[in-house]
Amino acid sequence: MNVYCCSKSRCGPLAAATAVFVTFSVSAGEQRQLDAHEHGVATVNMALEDDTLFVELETPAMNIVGFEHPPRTAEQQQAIAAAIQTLETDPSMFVPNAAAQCTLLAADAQHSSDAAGTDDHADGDHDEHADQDEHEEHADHDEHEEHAEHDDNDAGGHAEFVGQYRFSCRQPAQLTSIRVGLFTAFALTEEVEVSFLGPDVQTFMELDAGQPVLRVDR
Amino acid sequence: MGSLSIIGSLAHKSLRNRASTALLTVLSIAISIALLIGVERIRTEARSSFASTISGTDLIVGARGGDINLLLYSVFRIGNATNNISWESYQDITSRPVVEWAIPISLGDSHRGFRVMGTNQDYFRFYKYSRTRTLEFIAGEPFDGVFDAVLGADVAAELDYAIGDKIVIAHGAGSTSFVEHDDKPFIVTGILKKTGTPVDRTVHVTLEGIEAIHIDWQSGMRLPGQSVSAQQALQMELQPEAITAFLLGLKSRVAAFGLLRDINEYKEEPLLAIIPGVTLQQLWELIRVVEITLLAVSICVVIAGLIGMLSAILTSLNERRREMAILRAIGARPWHVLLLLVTESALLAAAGALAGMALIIGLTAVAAPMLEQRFGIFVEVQWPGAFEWLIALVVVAAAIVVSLWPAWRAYRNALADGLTIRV
Repeated sequence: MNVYCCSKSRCGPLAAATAVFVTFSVSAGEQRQLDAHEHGVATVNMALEDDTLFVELETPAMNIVGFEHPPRTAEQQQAIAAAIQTLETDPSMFVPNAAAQCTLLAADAQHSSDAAGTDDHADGDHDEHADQDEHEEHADHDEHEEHAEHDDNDAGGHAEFVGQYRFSCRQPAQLTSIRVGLFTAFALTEEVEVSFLGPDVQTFMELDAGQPVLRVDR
Repeated sequence: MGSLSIIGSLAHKSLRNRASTALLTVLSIAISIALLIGVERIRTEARSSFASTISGTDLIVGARGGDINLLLYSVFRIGNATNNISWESYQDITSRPVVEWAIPISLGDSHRGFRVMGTNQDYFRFYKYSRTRTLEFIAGEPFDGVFDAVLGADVAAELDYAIGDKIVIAHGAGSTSFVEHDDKPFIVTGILKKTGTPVDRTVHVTLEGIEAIHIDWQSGMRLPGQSVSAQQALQMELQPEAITAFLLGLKSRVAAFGLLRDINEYKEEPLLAIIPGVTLQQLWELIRVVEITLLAVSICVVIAGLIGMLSAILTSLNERRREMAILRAIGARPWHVLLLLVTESALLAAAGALAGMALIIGLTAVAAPMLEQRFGIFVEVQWPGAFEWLIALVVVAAAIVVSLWPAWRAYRNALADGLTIRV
């Protein structure tokens, strides 16, 4: 059960404690699987059905507002509200190529925290961390320290922003590229993994600030 | 223009005069270009060949493991499943309202080196490749009975089977298996048209058939003293308990991501769902480093070829000083000498590029059947396309640039030497 702690130098007491905790806490019948949650990386799913382009966004709150604990100050509240505002109204968030003649019909963004303010969530928090394979990657990042930090504050958990967008395209056959504007609006977003499903194409691309455009080759 | 055409014919004649050196230079450039084009062609052909193998399938579901592994074993018959999935889960998921069709797949047996796949009739209705094409029969029809088999085009051609032939399926995927299900032979009822996909190299049987041949088996061996004949097996319950994977077609594409999430969080059994095109793209992302390395290596080889040419020209400069001097004496200007050398290298590079293309066409013709057989990659013999001509142009341009150095030296010599040269 050493997934939590892959780099020896970072094997702090916290990791050791977690390992022990997990050993004793695995009880029967409980499902503990979690989505991947990697800071800096957002996931975008797009599907083109007839003339409608659906886009769903899922991103760790860290990428958007820089913290994942429940908002404690008015400023943090405001940051979340502003982020939702940007996600819903910034026209550069997802931009299909002009030839497809797409117009945004609906945009909806939410902030969600899976550590929904409970007393025992410190425990839950440890479970999550130990269960996450992604942590091997985390350990390599500097974010690891931040994790430790909010664990100490007893206000951990992974918070996310999710968004749904719906476009109507007059020329869906002409849809060849979609520009993703997350990098400019939210500088902490380093990478966006985009999956695209179309009538005769399924594709996947990892976008970053240097290459923010999904190409749909047909 | 007169002087230019004279220089052209001079360059040509001078190269013919040093035919062996010129030929070797052309050969080295040809090989380097063939390598570069070959690497690029295999890359693009492999991609399009993989991409056209499966179309119209929204999700593939298998036991939880690696995405790419699932794609490879379920579609390309490369590698093996880590685990089976239960028939209950299959029925539960395929009964959801968003599911339009489902093709179950059961792998693990083989016939003389070809993989055997258990499936149902829906496979022949819904499996699509090359965007919109469905499977067609050149002979016979889909299987109907428990011990019926449908052969891929290559299986029938290579093993010379016809409708009505009996085939015995071996346990495991090796080409020479000693444990065979010889008590329960299958009868060939159909042969598929060539698709250019791994389907061609697959023996298709019913799920019930797979179940029937394993009915008196346990842990990969036949139970001693417990033999169930084919006739008896038909009387038994042949509902499979487990399958290897299944393909799903959905009523709406938009539902794919939701169902994917559901399946990946399925509590009753650890399942994994993938979108084939997405996973294929992830596979390419993964091997991109290898591709770039190969490309870099072949570019280096082209550069080495050009350097070889450069050294050949430089070496020849001294022995050609008198030639240049004579040219000057009969009225050639120094820049004519420069142009002569540049033209010679351009001719060498162009000849090399053409020979390289010819070489790669010949090589593909020879290697294509082997690639198809060994790796399931279908490489077509093609005439040079835009990419190949671009490479040829770039190489010729590079050769011209490179030759400016010896040409410049010849030009300087031509200015300085005059006729009184002593070599």
